[in-house]
Amino acid sequence: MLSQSQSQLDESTSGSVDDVSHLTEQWINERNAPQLLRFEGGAVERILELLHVQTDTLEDLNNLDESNDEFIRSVYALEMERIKFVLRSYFRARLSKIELNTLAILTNPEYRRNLSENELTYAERFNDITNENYKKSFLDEACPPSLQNLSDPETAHNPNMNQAVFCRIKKDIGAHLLPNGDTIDLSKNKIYLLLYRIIRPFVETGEAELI
Amino acid sequence: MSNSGGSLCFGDEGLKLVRDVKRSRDSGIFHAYNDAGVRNVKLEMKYLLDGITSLLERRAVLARAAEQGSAGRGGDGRGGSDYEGDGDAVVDAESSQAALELSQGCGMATHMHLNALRRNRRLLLVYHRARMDSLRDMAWELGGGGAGVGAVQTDARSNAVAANSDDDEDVDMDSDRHTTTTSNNNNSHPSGLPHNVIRAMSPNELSFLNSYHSLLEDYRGTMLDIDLAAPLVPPSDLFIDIRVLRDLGEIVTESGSILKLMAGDQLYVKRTDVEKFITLGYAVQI
Repeated sequence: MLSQSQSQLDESTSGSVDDVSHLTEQWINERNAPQLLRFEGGAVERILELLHVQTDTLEDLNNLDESNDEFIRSVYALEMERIKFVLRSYFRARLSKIELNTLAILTNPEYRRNLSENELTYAERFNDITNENYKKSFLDEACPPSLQNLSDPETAHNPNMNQAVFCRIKKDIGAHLLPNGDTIDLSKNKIYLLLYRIIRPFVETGEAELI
Repeated sequence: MSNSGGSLCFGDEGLKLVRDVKRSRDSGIFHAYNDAGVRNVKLEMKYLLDGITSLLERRAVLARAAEQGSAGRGGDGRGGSDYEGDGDAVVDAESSQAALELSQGCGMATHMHLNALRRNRRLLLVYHRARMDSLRDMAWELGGGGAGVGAVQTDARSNAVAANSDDDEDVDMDSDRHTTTTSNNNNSHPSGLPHNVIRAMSPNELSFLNSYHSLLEDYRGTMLDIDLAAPLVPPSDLFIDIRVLRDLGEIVTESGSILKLMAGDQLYVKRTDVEKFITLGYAVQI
């Protein structure tokens, strides 16, 4: 961050720089993980708050209207644009997973917990409107009642937990036993290409990140 | 395919649909809804369902016959029975054996029919799902229909729609647009979609798309700070050079000033102010 004289800005940023980098990490995780991860509601909220503060600061700077502030203004504005992009991409990545695995997410309580409130509404409504199309297009007409239920496991699309992911270990975890009997050394800064289901517990605790 | 000889088996019609939709996904062209194909699959499913019902009836009859036969044989073993001769009993035992086998055969046939029915259902699900996926992709590509239109930009948008209707669009399409614009201020109708796509949709798909748009609209309404529909390209420059391709009229920028966008203008503007028009193809970046 720039060392700006605006104390208000400094206060809010010093606490939130962590949030930004945390969200960036979560965003990368979200984009690489096959399943929907836990919603980072707190971080998102604090970042939105920060964006508001920064918009105000920017307006103040504009009102001062000193030409030598032009550079600082553009740095601030671009930084905001970048943070907004991360947020946007984060939400979009989550939405696309919700749309792909709607049924699995809605029926499995473990996945369901990872949704924010708005996302839950979204998932339910999305499920309703897709089912409506199926129903009206053929389900009501051509299927016996036993086949009209769409929530059987045959139709649900589940996230592929066996997808290979690149991950970086962030803490020394020590040796880890793989299902095939081998052990790998999970020590700090090592990079592995693993099945998602092996690294998943460490991603969830934050001991590893996907890259 | 194994049945290249032309003999059709259950599920072939449905498979054709799925192949068609795959071709459509690969080529990026949204094919017309195959009403006839879907109807054929539905007919096949009805046929299969009728088959299952009659097979089940037949199996019940045969099972009863087999039971009676074996009951008769059991009676024969005890000595005193309704059947008079030994020979008769043997014949009866044979026929009951045959009835049993037949009823088992009917059971297998029922299974086969049921599996074919399931497969057809699955193929139809795939077909419809893939089409909905294409529609969703297109909706997002064109800025999610409403394109995250804030209150400020709404009039710019209706300007854009008005400019659009001056073009050589179909009359029915235009009236369609205007009704939705008036009925719903935020214009959730897929006005951005080319009308050959709209014509290729089934009525059910059209209503799906409409509800999808209003769903997106509502979801975006929950976070006003972030424009979810903006393109997912990392921002590099704050200001960009654009050339305006259509008369868009005056828009109010984020900072509150008024920007006049007329066809042919070249401007150096803030990217976020005009991003939407670039997505919709009303302006290009130079």
